[in-house]
Amino acid sequence: MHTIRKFFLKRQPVFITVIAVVLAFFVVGIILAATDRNPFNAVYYFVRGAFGNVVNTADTISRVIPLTIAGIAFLVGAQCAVFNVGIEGQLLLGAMASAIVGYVVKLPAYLHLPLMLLSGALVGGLYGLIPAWLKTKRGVNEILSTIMLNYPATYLTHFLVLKVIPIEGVVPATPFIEDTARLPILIEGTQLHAGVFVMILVVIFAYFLLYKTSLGYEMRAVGYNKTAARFHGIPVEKRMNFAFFLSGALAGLAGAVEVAGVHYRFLDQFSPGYGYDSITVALVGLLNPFGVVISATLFGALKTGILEMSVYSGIPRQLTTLINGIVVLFVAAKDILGGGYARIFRGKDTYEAEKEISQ
Amino acid sequence: MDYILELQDICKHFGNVFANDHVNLKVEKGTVHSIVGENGAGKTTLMNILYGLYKQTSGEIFINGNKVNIESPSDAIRLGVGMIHQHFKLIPAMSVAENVMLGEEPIKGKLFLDLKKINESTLELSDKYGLAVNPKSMVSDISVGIRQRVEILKALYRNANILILDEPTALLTPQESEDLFLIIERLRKDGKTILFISHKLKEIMQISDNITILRDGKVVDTVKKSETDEVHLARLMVGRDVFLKPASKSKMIGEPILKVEDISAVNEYHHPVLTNVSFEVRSGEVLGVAGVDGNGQTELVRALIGLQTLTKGKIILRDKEITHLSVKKMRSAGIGVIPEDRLQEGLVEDFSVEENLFLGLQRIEPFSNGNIINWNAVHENADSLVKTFDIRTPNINHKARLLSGGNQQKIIVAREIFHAPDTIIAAQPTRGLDIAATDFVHEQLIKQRDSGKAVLLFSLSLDEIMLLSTRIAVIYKGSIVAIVSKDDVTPEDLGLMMLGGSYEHIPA
Amino acid sequence: MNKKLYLVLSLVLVATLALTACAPKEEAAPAEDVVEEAADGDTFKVAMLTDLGGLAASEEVKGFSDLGWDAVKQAESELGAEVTLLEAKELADLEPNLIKMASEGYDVVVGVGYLFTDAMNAVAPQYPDTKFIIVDSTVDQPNVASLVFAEEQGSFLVGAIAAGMSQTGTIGFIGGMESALIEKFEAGYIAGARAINPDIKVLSGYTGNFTDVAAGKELTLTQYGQGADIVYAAAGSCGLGTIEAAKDNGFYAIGVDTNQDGIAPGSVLTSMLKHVEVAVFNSIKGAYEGNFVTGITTYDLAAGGVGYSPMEYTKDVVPADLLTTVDGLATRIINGEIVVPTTVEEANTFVLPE
Repeated sequence: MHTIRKFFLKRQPVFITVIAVVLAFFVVGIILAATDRNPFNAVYYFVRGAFGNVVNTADTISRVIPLTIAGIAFLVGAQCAVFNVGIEGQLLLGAMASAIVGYVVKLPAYLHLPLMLLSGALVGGLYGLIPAWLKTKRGVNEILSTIMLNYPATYLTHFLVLKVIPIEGVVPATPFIEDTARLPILIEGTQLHAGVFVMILVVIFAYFLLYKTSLGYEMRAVGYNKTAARFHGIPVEKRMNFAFFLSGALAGLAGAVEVAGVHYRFLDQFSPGYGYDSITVALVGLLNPFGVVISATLFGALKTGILEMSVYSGIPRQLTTLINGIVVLFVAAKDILGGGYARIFRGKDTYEAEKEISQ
Repeated sequence: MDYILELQDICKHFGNVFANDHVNLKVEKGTVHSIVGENGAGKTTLMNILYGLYKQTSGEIFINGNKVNIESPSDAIRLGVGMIHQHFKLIPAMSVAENVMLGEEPIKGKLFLDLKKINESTLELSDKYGLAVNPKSMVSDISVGIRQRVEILKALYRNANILILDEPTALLTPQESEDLFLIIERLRKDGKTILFISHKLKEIMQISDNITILRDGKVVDTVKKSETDEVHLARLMVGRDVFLKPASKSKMIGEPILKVEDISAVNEYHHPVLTNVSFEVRSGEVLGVAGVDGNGQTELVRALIGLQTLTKGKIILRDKEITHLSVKKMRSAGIGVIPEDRLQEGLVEDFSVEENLFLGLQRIEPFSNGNIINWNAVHENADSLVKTFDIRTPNINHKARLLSGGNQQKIIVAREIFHAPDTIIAAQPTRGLDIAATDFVHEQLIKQRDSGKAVLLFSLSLDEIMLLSTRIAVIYKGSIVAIVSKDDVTPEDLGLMMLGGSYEHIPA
Repeated sequence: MNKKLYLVLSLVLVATLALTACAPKEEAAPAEDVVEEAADGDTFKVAMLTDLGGLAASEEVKGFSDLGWDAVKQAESELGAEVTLLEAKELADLEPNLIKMASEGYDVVVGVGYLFTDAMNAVAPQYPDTKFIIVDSTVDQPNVASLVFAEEQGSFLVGAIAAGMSQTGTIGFIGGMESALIEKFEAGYIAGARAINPDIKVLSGYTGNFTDVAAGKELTLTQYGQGADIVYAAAGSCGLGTIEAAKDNGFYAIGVDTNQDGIAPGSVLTSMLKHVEVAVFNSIKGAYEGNFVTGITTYDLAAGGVGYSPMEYTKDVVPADLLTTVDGLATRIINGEIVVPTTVEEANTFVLPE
């Protein structure tokens, strides 16, 4: 009994998150049942749609790619006390920049593709430096500034595809990128592309940076306690600026990978809000790089599984937005769950004692 | 003898932990009865049982000889028990009087608060005990000391006859503490019974009638004040002899290591906070900086580690000028600091013990080659420091947040001392620590002194200054008004100078 | 740090809930008993896919995608087809959705909306036996029928009616998100108005989306404030805001795509009709009968693909001679005498040929 308790206590945040997600699904199930729809049927089609066969699984993974990269973008900021809610805008600008490099530049693939992806990252990163400057030089709250900066980015890209970049046809988009700038499809007939390797590299990079380097250690120190970081000689503003840049750059990279792997051009409205989803993904992933992969898989599966579910089980797609909302709500409320959790696995009195001793 | 309160065989278990173990306590009416013990000795738990916040596992409580069952604070209040918590439970956006009446408001007609009556009754109570509280002030505008008096008023308004004060001086300045003791004296004369929780021996000796010592949840002894002294109490509390005696004399005082020449600084409103401060700290000595809180100590510490912009002057470390360098450079030049605010400045609470044990050292050998962290070196460092400094933690991956204050301070001391800079700045190094931990920190500072380092000690406690210093600098309104040898000065002289009085025989 | 995290979380939550609230109300799930496995070759199967718009909440506020669905339902009742509907949530859904339907053996896969262009271009060659239909865009593949409409011609006619009915000499146009497609509506409308009154003043504004009813209303009221007494909205659901504003303030709105006259009888002067249902049904029927027409088919006035509503509620207030004039213009367009411009630039200098 003791070892079981210990096992669960040590991993409290993880289990609470899992419980929160499971509870969210449970609530959704109740809603379905209450509206005379069979929740088990729904689950069957959901799982089938997300992972039922090679094609569905591959498509799910293709959704996980942008969610993961954008989730990591939020994570590297948040670990350094930078709450970048502007990932959507950085992602759009990165996608636009990479699309332009993709169709204008003529180079062999081994140069073109990296150049295209890097240009997306660079533009996203530079855009991230605007709120950085506002924050560290002018003291503007970055949550506000980054939210606001999403709008100029959205409308700038919109303007570019409508008025500046001329193309044939009615689709507001840039011309197609060269073949040399495309991420190859891994499984024919699906959207699974080589961006999955970019994603893996990004996850490993974030883990290595944050937990294996002095720079990452300093960023995390700033994230937890700026005063202490400053007292110990860590240049707080510099680290935050870097976090802004890195967060924006990864956001831009996420956009570039979507262009290079899925759409092959910048399509107006191509992002269904990956930038906003990234926040949920990162928080559900407990701001841990590998946690982000797991949580992105969950949200990616939500996207693909729900499509199939809505076709075959007659569940309207609006309910699916609700599922997302309920998951976020439960994760946000997990501190409430935390108390109960601790009580179950510690016993009430021990919990209080620990609280007291830690005072 | 009438006992207003009697506890019999009180036990409280938290799982396998015995927070209170067969505690017996008899309190005489109209006395100040102190409950003393180290942090974690079970003082607060016992008081929480008495106030109905916890339910004892076994044991009985008698008030005025009657067996009582206290299930909740409202039971306690009904029985005349009031508690003033360490952390106040006041509503800042309400006035003093409104806070005092909260939950028991006099009503005019059927709907309206009788504000006039509220203010009058509060004023009446306040005058009776000399609390000098303005009932109309907003709680958000008043000082910590006054807030505490509001808490006392709350208890008195509810007709408390037994007042529990849980470490009431922890947040007070020395002057505020003195005022509090006067209030306690008045309450006692009025027939109230005070349960005074503390681990500060000096104040316990000052105000108690009887003293009960707890250790590891058990009552060690109950003594009359007249029959004991500080050394005796300390031994009972800690269970062994403790250091708390003046440090041995400095053995070999060497060359000046840190020189501060004529520095001045202003705050954000351009008011001077440091004015022409000069002093030097030599190898092998402790220079104590004595002063009333808020006379420039904080700014001086910040100046010495590069966080305070100077308007003039120089800081020289071993013949090398380090004025205006970045924090990082000043610290790598050889200044170590135990900051005054442990939680905010000294530690990253959400980092693990081992991560905290190399904070600020993350880019130097052996912890890193400048970029990549060598976690093996970090583990080894943590293992050895945890052992050497007896940091009580389940393991080195435990979050610092979860450790006690004493162990957190040990992490800071271990890190700053072990990585052996030339100069150690210790700002309030024992604030909030219990005797054993205080003793330990003192011992470590003296050890560093004897190994030839320069130690600059900032403390608000004159006792600590007198115990550790070789020489003493007195800071007043941002200036050093005197630097004297410890042997040439009495605490009374220092006290006078700290308040701006002059000192006739300042040695050259 | 925690406080900030919670702020971010609550923002996310609010955003999510707002999205849920904004989303069009639930369309009763497809009533058909969908057979999920690919059936044998006997059943004629039609799948319809929407882009980001989805279907409307109710019959009155039907839009463009609903007309496509009407056609598919007609195929169900008249041709005995087995039909299904798949609504996309994001652009990345479009290609998998097409693949899903094609691979499950649907004979005809209809993509309603130009956003399907890229996806259909990619998918159609992989399923050469499947017949694809795209509405509002062109896909140059041998198994794709591209159905496009001469929206500028229909808009020309309602522009003419608006100019003829305006008391103030100022009329308004409201677009959704700017695009070449919506520009056709605007250009035709301006040109038609100039054909009746060369001095007409046409105010133009875009809401930036096709969903925000309040934005449509607000923009309409702004134009009303500047003197416009008739406002034409080619802006999806935003147009509902235009109609609401007109009803509240006693001026006229002009509906779009479907016959919206009944939403606020008397306040909707007329509606520019885009007979998506006719076009899509014709194409499906062709596929059913074995003469599926691939390539571009333009549904213009001549083909009966666009026009204006019969003005059930406003017939009496529109002078008969105005309608005669408008019908005359329609004839001249059909004859090719009038070439309606498709860009605003051309429309602004449009002069009615003698």
